[in-house]
This record gives sequence, C-alpha cells and structure tokens, in this order.
Amino acid sequence: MRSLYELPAFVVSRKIQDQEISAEEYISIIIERIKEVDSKVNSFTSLNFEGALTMSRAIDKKIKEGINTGLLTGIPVGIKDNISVQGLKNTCASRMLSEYVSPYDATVVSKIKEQGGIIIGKLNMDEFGMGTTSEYSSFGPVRNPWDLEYVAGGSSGGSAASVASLQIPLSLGSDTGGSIRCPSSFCSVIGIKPTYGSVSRSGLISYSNSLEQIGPIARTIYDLVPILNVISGEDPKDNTTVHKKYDYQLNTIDNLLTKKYKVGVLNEFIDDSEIEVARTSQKKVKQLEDYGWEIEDTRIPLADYALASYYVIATAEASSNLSRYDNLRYGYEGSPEGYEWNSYFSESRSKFGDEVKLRILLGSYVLSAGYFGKYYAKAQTIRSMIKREFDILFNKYDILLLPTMPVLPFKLGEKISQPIEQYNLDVYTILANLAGLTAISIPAGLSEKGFPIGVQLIANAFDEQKLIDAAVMLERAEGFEKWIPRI
Amino acid sequence: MAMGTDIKKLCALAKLEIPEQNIAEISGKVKEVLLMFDKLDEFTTEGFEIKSTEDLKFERAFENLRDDRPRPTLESSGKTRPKLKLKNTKDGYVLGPRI
Repeated sequence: MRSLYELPAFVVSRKIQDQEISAEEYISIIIERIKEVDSKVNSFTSLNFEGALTMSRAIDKKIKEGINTGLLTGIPVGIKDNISVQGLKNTCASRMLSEYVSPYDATVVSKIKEQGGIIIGKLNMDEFGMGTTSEYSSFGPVRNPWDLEYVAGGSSGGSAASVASLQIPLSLGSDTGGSIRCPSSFCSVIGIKPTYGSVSRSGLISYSNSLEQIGPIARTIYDLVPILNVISGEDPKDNTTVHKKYDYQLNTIDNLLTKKYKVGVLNEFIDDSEIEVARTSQKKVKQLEDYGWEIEDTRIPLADYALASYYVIATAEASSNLSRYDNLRYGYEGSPEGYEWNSYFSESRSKFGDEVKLRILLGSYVLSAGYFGKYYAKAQTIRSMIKREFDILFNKYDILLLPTMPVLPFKLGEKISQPIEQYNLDVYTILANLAGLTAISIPAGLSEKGFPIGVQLIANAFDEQKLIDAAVMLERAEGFEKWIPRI
Repeated sequence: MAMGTDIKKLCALAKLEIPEQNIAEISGKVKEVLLMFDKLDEFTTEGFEIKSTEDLKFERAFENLRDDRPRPTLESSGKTRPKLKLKNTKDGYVLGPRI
C-alpha cells in the first residue's frame, strides 16, 4: 500500500474533505518525510512546521463544521524563497537578505491559503533567481533526487527537487528564463510558466520584472491544474495582470482526441541537443502524431539572437531592481555609522554572491550612456521581433514542441565557474519569457543512466488550456507520474 | 573593456565592492559575456518596420481604469515588525552617514 505522501494531492485532498483522514494527520506524515529526506536534497531554506500544523487543525475544524475549505484543502505547498510569506524569512537564498522576514503575503500565497493550502516552508534557489543549477545559493546547492551528485536545475531547484523526492506534492517557483521548466526537466516533474500577466507578481522579489512569472510545479497534471486555477487572475496590486476568466479544465481523453491540435516541431533545437534528449523528444512527437494530432516542422529565424537579447535585458533589469539593497531599509545587521554614504552602500552590497555581482556589473555596463543603443535598445528591438515571429507561428500552429533543456543533468560544480556555458543552457527556455508566452515542461523519459529528460511545449499567450490538454495526453501515454527517484 | 581599471570604474558605477584579488577573475567573466552580447552587432534592423504598439489589445478603455483605494499601512507586530537597525535617530528621523 502506498504511503500518503506518495499519493497525488487531489486524491489526498478528497480524502481530507471526506474525513477519511485529517489534515493534521497528513501534515504530520509530510513533516516526517521532510525530516527524513531533505538533509540529502537540501531543497528547503526554512520550515514552517508549527504554522502548518496550526493551519491543518483549523482546516479540520472547518470541515467538521461543514464549511467549504477550497480547492487545495489540506495540501502542503512549498514556496520558492523569493515569494513573500508573512512571518517567514524571505532570503532569496542571499546573505544580503539573510535576516529579512516578510511582513505580508504575496498575492499567490494569500490565494493558496484562502483555498485551504498549507504553507510548509520556503524553498532553496539560485540567489535572486540568477542561475540554471541552484548552486549559487547561500544555503548550499540543491541536489538532484535522481542522483545526489548532480545538479537539480535552477533557479527553482528546491521547488522541483522537493516535489520529485516526494517531500511535498506542490510547490511554487518563478520563471525568468526557464527557472521553473529547467529544474522540472532535470527532476522529472511537471512545471508551467504561465503567460506574463496571468498570475500576480505582487510579493515576488523582482530580478527581471518584464520577464519573470510565478508558476506551479507538481508530479502530475491533475495536481498542477487546480493550483494554477487558484493563483491565476487579475490583481489590483499588480497592474500588469490581465482581466479575464481563468478556468482551466482537465478534459477527458475522448474529448481531447477530437481536438486535433496542430503542433509545430522546432527540429533545429532537437537536432542541436544531446542524442538522448533528441531521441526522447522525437518519441514525444510520435506519440502526439499517433493520437491524430497534425505535426509539421518549423523554425524561429531570430532564435540565434535570443540568448544575447535575453541576457542584456535580464542583467539591465537586475542592476536596476537590485539597487534597492542598500542595507538600510532591510538586510542584515550592520550600522552605517562612520561611513561616507557611497562607501557604506558599496560595502553593504559585498554580501551579494559572485554571480549576482557579475550580472549587476553587466547590467550597469549595458545601460551606461555610451552603450545603451549598442546593447539594450537593440535587444528590445529583437525581443519585439521575436514576439512577432511567434505571432506568425501561432496563426498556423496551436502548440510548438522542443526539448526543455539541450543536455541531461550534469555533476555539481562541473559548470559553476563558466558563466557562458551555463547561459547557453537557457537557449530553449528564454524564448517564452522574451515573448511573454506560456510554456510547460513535461517529463518525457529517462536516459540510459536514469536521468530525467523533459519536453517543452509553448503556446500563445493565454492558451494554457492547450498545454494542459497536451500534458494530459502525454501523461496518459507514459504514466510519468509513477517515475519516482530512489532516495 | 573588462581590463582591471575599467572594472573598477564599473564597480563604482554599480556601487559594488569587489576585492582586489577577484578583479582579474571578474574581468575575465565580464569580457566573456560581453563577447556573447556582441552577437547583437550581427543583427541589423534595416528593412524591418517596427510597430511596437500594433499588437497591444486593451480589454478595457483607458477612461475605465481601476479606482485606486488608499489602504492603511501594514500593521507590524511581533515577528513581522521590521527591525530598526539604526542607532542614531532624531525627532523620528534616521540620521544618515556622514559625508
């Protein structure tokens, strides 16, 4: 018999609402699981066990009183450590914010709580979301549950690894250039980057505000859709959110077989990937073809310029967003007494990690007067043209398919001192961020040595439903929710 | 760019303190990334007409913007109270560092 922590969230939530088990009992099991496993994976930065137990008792009381407790009743949710949770530390995995406790909840956190979700803790990440491996963390690297000597992907490495290692069924991450999809691919879980403007960013500590988006990670699409419905929606606190109805459905296979979506396959990306990644991606194409969906090869001509454009824009926004960290309004213990103002400002920021410093320097450089036109203005022009290319593609196709990552997970430390090698790994994921589109990483298979491989689907803005439909089909074809690392 | 002296200027611009022994390493990394950024030089916008607002769709008219409602400041108590780290205050104001 499977333990409760192995079951999908939607199954356990039903059991709690039917009073087969109590929320407190379930949370106690989850706490034991985290205590047993996380010392190996290092996916949490702080834990909220007492708070979670208190919340679970309140939910049990409501259920006994016949009060509706919501879509996420009794389900523990982990939150990436750059999303604010009232009363918990919000460090962004940085020494700069090591003592900062958030005085308020991010909108997505409030919504999860309103729907009966229980915040179990904060999750490890690359410092301020800057990284592809979750090694740039002041809490130490997140380890891949499939092999603890390998990277978990990043920057939401803790969010993916905690779900993959059966510590929690659901988590939130943030995705600036693939930070949800990359670790989802490396850990064999399902993660979606919603359309820019469909999920509130209020309470997310900004790194690159025109690119980033909060999104959920789960083991199965049946768990992912309820939390996506909960967190999506217009928010008066974030005026980039769009007013529209968000009601994603889990359609039946029979219904989906009649939909006949048209899929554009980005073959250049598949061919440029490691052989096992390419082979697995082609297998996914074949599965969709077998379902009767129309398949056609296509390409994005401006993709060659995407990586440079992305990093120019991301570093420029990072240098601006991180200029607020002067250690006066929030930060660590320290006194400016006796310092000249600029000296204090510079010294206090020495607690940023090396990668964050590098990106601030690059951002300051590309925004400086002599280079603005050469880098930033040009990058923005290319960005708008890439968006236009996607518009043309989505007039023809419902979904685009490509690998999530060009490589398999690699060893911890292997690429840590090589920024360009790491940046190049983002080449397939940054496209959706540049164009503000929605994209999902779905487990596609395991390599010969047992490392996860993910396939990525991109859809037009606000077409999340198409990605969900495709995920249901692919999950049915493989049953990937049953692939579990031995840890 | 990315020689030691340039990096020091850039650090001053970015208000970052980099230890002297790390200047060479960070210079190398900055130089490497800027070479990657130079890919943009190969791109020319000639022949392309940029219509940046063409694709914008407004679901609501501008005159129908939301009403801003002032809200009281967040209550701060117990664990969530922002800590006051500065020792020197006068008349409710924080005294800044000497210049």
